[in-house]
Amino acid sequence: MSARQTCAAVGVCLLVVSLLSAGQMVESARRMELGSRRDLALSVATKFDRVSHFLSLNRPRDWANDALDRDVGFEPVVVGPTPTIDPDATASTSTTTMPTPQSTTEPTLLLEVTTPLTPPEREPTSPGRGDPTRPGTTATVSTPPPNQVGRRTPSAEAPLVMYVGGDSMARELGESLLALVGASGVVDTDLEYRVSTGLSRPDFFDWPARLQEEVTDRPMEVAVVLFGANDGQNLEALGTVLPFGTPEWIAEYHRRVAAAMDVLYAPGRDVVWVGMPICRSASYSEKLRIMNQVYADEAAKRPWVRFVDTYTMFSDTDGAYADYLPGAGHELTLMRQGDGIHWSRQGGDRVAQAVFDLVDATWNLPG
Amino acid sequence: MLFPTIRFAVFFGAVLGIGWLLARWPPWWKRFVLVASYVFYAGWNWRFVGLVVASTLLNQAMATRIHRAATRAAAKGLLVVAVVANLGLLGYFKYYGFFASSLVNLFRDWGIELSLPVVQVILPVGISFFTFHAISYVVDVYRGTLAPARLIDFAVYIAFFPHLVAGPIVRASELLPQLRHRLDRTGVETSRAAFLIVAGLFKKVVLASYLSDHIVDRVFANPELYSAAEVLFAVYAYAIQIYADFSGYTDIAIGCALLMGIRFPDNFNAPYAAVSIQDFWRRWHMTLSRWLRDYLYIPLGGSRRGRARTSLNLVLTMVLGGLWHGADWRFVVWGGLHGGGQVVETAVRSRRTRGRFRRRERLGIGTAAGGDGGRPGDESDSLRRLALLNKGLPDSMSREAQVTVLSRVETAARRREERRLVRAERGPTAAGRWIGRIATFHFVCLGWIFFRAESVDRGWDMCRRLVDGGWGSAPLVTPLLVVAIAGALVSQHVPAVIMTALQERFSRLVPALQGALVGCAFLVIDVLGPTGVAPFIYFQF
Repeated sequence: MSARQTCAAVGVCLLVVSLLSAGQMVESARRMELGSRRDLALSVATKFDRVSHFLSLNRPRDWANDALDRDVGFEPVVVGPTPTIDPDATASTSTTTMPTPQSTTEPTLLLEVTTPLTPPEREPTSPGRGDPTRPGTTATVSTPPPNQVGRRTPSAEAPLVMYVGGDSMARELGESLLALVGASGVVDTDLEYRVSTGLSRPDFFDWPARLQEEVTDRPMEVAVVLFGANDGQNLEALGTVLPFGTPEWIAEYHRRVAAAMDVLYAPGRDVVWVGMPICRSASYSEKLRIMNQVYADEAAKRPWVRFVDTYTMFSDTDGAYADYLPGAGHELTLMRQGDGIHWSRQGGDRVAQAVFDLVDATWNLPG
Repeated sequence: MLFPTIRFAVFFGAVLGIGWLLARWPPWWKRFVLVASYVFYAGWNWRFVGLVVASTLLNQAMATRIHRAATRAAAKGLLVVAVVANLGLLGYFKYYGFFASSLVNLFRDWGIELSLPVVQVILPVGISFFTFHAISYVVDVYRGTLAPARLIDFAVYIAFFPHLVAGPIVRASELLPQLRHRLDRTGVETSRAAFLIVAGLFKKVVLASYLSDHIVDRVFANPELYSAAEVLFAVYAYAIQIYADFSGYTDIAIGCALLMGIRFPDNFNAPYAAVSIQDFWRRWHMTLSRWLRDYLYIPLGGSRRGRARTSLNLVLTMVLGGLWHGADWRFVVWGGLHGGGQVVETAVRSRRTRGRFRRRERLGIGTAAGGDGGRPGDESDSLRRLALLNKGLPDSMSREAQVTVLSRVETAARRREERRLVRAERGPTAAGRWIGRIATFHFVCLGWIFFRAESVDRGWDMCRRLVDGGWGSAPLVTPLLVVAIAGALVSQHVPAVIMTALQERFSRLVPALQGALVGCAFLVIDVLGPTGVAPFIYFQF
């Protein structure tokens, strides 16, 4: 084929795929950071979308999405459900391969919690709000044994229901947490992480709505959530773009964080809000520091929410970012991935241990 | 800038069109492609464009000096400087953090606090690939197999965007001659390119993403939470995922280059159809295999220095090939496994060859003693052997009868030997080849466990889990997963002639229809794939 024909074929290909996937292009443009580039991309994609609808070229994709039961724009990116454990098989290896709270020597002084470790007094359980199918849940809330600070002791028959959710940072945290609690057989953990999401762009992914679904579908006793990695951007509220870091932005972000925390509220449920760690980029870290302050402030207003400060947990002795930090045996351990943002497995283990300690202090997990 | 994104589609469409417009004027085409390649690279991290430029200038300067060196010794000295500089650059970016932290921890164990900055250096994407490109260029110039190219040609060779970030590792001798001539504007292999790009996208976006999300990531993260069946299928799935991911990338790279009128060498050839480990390495990441062979294994002495040295060279080459992927013991284990496996295979093959040679000798085939094709030994020789070997014949038997019996025994033995020889020289049977394929695939999977695991210990956890994980419950092993794995394995055995025939039929269509069909294929891939696409696995190497 000649070069001219090749270019023509490629041009036709791009045109066809643009028209057939115009809706997807609009979605992609919507996901871009607010600003002129997004406006331009959205404008071009919308024009393609109009032509596509006019020619009914959006139909094949819609049919395919219907056939595959997909909801465009609200599609799961990565979802990690609870692993299934063969209890017999697990028992043989858990003691050798699984770190346990007792065996770890992770320095606990790195864990800074802005609210008291002892859970505050909860609102009394109102009739009908407790889950009658979960034996022990309401009973332990109403009559808390003093040594268990108001919580039942989870067992294999009635495991503690824990939900771990958030942006891509929740992946390492969740996987490490699964390793800590999963094989015990007394914690039923559901891990859900969605890359490139947060609280800043409900038009792309509406986390409060998702959390509402989650608490409705599968009532949890502990919710561990983590947001912020993608929230250092302008917000759009009531048709106005709020530049990052301005008082208006901070006020709006407060409102969104508060909404997410309130969605998770239920009597007898603990919410652990994990803050963002310091990152390699100083400017990015500064944004995270601002957001962490919002999380801490909102958590302090709500007795059911406890905030885990990972910013200082992953800072060196000078309070600066470090890829390597002293590990359990004080040896230098790589805590972060190459991007200087996400945790390595060891980093995930460290923050998971902090979360586990909080949960364990409340729920008195066996083992 | 990832291949399966709208951003890349827009970029590539523009580069392709402008590139062909400039193809009549090669100097301008090269300048344009070079700038486009730097723009492509800047899409990852613009700060590292300077690194690519510096590497280009350094290696071009060294190659020119090597070529002009007055003596062989001087050329060799310059070559050493160039190779050390390239490896130093690679080592700093890839291995500094690992070695610095190991050193600090080692000294701390001895009670000495080492004040060494321990940082994880940001890894420039593709550094392993463009460094290997550069080394092969200066070595070829030193060997005299290649004359130094013009700077612009060499710069395009290093930075050409389809292969810049994850290969294939194209030799200078393969790309530079194509840059010296005006591109062929009439014979673009569009059909082959279209098939490669569609296949590559399907492998990456649909297959690799599905396997990764469905089973691989979660099982490798916490193997102790899953049954043996799930762990086993996670390992199979990873074998397919890494193949689909990496071969998908190179398929797209080769396809894009073809559309621009440039040919790259193949990088994969149905690796899971390999009947042995050596065969696997002739089919997997072929451009890295031949790089390691030509620039590491052969300079180490190859197979010319005896059996022990050959084994050592094989293991060294594979371990260093493993370390090329990153500074981690798991890559050492992976490389060591493949090196050790090849040593064992070579030993077995050598033993079989010696056995065949002995049989030939015994049968007198192709030897000085029996050059007539197998004449029976003379009578006295037979009797001597009879006296030595045969104690069972009755004493009453006459000498003639003993000779007759011996002759029959020897004839029968000879026929048996002949049959064995024919079988051995014919190669393995169909059943033997399948056994070889299955054994090789499982050996390769064993290597992948350590390659993918977070650490060597986690790799052992996976192996342990396979033994004591229990086989009862395996909800992750769904029919779709089994079909995906089985389909990918079966596809390794599809004869190339079928694909060629399909391409031939496709090429007869009018260009617009070809483009429309490929556009529809993209839609199907997009619908079947997840919303976001993870970076290619080999970008981290």
